[in-house]
Amino acid sequence: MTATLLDVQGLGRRFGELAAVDGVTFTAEAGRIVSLIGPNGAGKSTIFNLLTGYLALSSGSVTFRGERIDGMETCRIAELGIARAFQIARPFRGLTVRDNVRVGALFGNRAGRGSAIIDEAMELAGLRDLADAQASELTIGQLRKLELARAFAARPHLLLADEPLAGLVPAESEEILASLRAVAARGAGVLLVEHDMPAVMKVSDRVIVLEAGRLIAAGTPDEVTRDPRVIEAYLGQEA
Amino acid sequence: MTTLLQTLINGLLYGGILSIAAVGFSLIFGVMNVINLTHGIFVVGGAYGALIAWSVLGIDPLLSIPPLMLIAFAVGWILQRAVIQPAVERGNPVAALLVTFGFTLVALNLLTVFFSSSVRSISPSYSFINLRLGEVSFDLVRLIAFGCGLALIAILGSFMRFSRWGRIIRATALSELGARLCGVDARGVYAVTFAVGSAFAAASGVLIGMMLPFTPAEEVTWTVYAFIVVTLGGVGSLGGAMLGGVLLGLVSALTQTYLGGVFTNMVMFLILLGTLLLRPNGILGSAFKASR
Amino acid sequence: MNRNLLIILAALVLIALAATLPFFLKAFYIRVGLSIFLSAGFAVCWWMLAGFTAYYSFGHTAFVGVGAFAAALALRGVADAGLVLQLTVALIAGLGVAGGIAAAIAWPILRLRGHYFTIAMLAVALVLGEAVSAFPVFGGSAGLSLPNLAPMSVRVEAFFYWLALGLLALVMAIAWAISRSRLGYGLAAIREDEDAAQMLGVPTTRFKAIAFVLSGGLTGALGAVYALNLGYITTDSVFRGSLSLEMIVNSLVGGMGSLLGPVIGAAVMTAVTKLLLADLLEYHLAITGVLIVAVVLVAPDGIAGLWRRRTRR
Repeated sequence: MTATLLDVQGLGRRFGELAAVDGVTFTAEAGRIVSLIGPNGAGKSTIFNLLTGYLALSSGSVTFRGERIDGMETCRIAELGIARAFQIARPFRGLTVRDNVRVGALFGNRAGRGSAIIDEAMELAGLRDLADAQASELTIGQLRKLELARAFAARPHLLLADEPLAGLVPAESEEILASLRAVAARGAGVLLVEHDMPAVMKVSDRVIVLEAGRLIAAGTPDEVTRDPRVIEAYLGQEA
Repeated sequence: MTTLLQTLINGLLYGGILSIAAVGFSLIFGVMNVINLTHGIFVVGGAYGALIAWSVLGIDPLLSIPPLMLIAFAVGWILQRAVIQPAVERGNPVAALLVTFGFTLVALNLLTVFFSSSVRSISPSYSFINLRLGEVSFDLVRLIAFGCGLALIAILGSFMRFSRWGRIIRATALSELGARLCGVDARGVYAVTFAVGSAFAAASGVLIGMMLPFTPAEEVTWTVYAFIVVTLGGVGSLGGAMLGGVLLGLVSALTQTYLGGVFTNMVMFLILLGTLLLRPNGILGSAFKASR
Repeated sequence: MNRNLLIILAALVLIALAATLPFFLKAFYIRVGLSIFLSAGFAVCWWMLAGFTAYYSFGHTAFVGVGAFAAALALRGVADAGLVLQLTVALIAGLGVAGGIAAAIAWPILRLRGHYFTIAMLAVALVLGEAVSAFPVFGGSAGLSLPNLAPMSVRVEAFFYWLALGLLALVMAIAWAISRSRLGYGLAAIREDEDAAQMLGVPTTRFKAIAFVLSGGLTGALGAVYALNLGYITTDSVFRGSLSLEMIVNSLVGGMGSLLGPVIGAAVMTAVTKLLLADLLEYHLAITGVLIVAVVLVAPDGIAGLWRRRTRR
């Protein structure tokens, strides 16, 4: 019995004439990993911005654990239990890894300062050894892990991971994917935006395909890869 | 009615002076995004320079403007290259503010030691002539200073618009990277900009010295006034400096007549605060960049 | 936990040591110590905003002046009361009025960033200074006098030395407590990346306002002590641009990275100006100016920064 965490209905966002997101409907469940895929400009990052309250909706509704969150302030949404790991890592450069993660823990869903949560988050992300390093000294792969650790520390109900694998070598990708699986196993829902198709197919429970702001297919990885519309949109893409 | 007219005329003349006193500051702020706290000391320095020229060498203050501008240009250029540019490159957001403040302290100290803090003024032969036009009167000096101020603004304007350096400066202000890619030495541009700004500050100081009594400590006032003018009228454009200056001059004169001299500064500072909170780019907006 | 206990113990020992000094030193040196404590206190209060959130205020003298005048006026109401009551009234008045003004302007002024916030605070200081001068109820240009609260049995300078020391200790304790609290981490996040902090759930507007009000209010309380020490205040003596600048310079010279920075900076700068430069008083502005330029160009992280760099390598 998996609880529906997120219920997105007819989500839409216009920038003047352009509909960046148009009538997108989907759900996310606890303990499940849902991936959003699509060509660049399909609206994936915009959806994340809309869900976290960074952008206002033009139409539609977003319900999180039974509560309408469209229109809420970013920090309030974060308090309710949605955490985001950024595509372009935004670490707090002047702080250590541990302090970065601590901020995530202190202001997340279940605000706690116990070092247990911080250590657990760093463990999940594979950063235990780097706990006292300055964030400004990390490599890109390590920064990605820091993004995730910070999000994990917030003990979110729903984690939004924005292209966490971009620019990583296969070994690092595997580590990140393992972290995501571990987080889902603990009961959080994961929304993943990614371009790395093999990775997406390996780790996702469901896949949602977007094109030009619209949802063109949704289903299990197998169903989606065999969907003719998807194949057409991805002509030339690795499937 | 006469009072009102007289007040408006006074305000206009004073406003002209505020405008010319602010253009240098506006240029530096607009092009380099540096709040130049040395502005006031260049103004006051110009006044003292003219004082020496007039009392020791017998030169009419107006004639001392060109040489003083050259001296200020040189000092400003060296200051920017040697001190301000390195400070800005250190990355600290208030570096330029602090370093310009430091220089100001040094210059202020030297001026006070050299000239003492007693009040000075420059009074060439035509200082005490008062003209009457119908019911209104004004000092000839103020009119001459106003006229010179306008002439100086016009010169700066044509320099910025038509000369090669003017175009280079404007290009760099709009996009440093773009200008660099076209082969412009951005650092050189900033040094020249600062030097030009300082030169005009000194020139305005001569005019101010002719109209008002001054002490070294006045420099704070002129920096703050420049900031108010520029914030109110708009950064980086001569139009902004003129609009801001005239508006401020009028407000100052009106406040003085109808509320009392005690309140003039307070009203001016309130305008500064209000503008910052409501429309930080000023009425005409920033000629080059955004505020936040 | 152990490390924290050690720090607290060390601090208490230092404070106790400092408290004994008036029994050994001449009046002049006690007054230098008093100056150091006041300057350090002001610097720490300013740093509470700037160091935590990177909002550099150029107008903190506004809070000093407000605190001073609030205390002076409040003391008129309790002219016959005992020392403790009068002192409490003065401190509460300074803290309350300055803190109140900070709270009133927090929301609009903290929306400004960078240069604009800096100059807006300068404008606030200028407006308040002029307002106090312009309205006779403040006694402005003629000035206000404050009672001498030092009890007969104690030397005046020693009394204020201890008072200033006590307040410095209090202000440092508050700053230290903040830095280890949820508020402190939130503020650090705001300083590093305000937008990212918001997305992690940090209530940025609220936290910035808290830091601002604490910084302003405590400056006001110190302003009350400053005024009591002067005994007689005018607009020019407490709404002084140089007060704002001293806070900034002291913090920068010492190093913005930690609580000790402003204290070290204030100690160094005050000692240098009062002791070494006493003979060169005529040039002390110029020397301060050169020092500022030197610190910005050569040691942007201040003395504490230089120390940290040396111990890391």
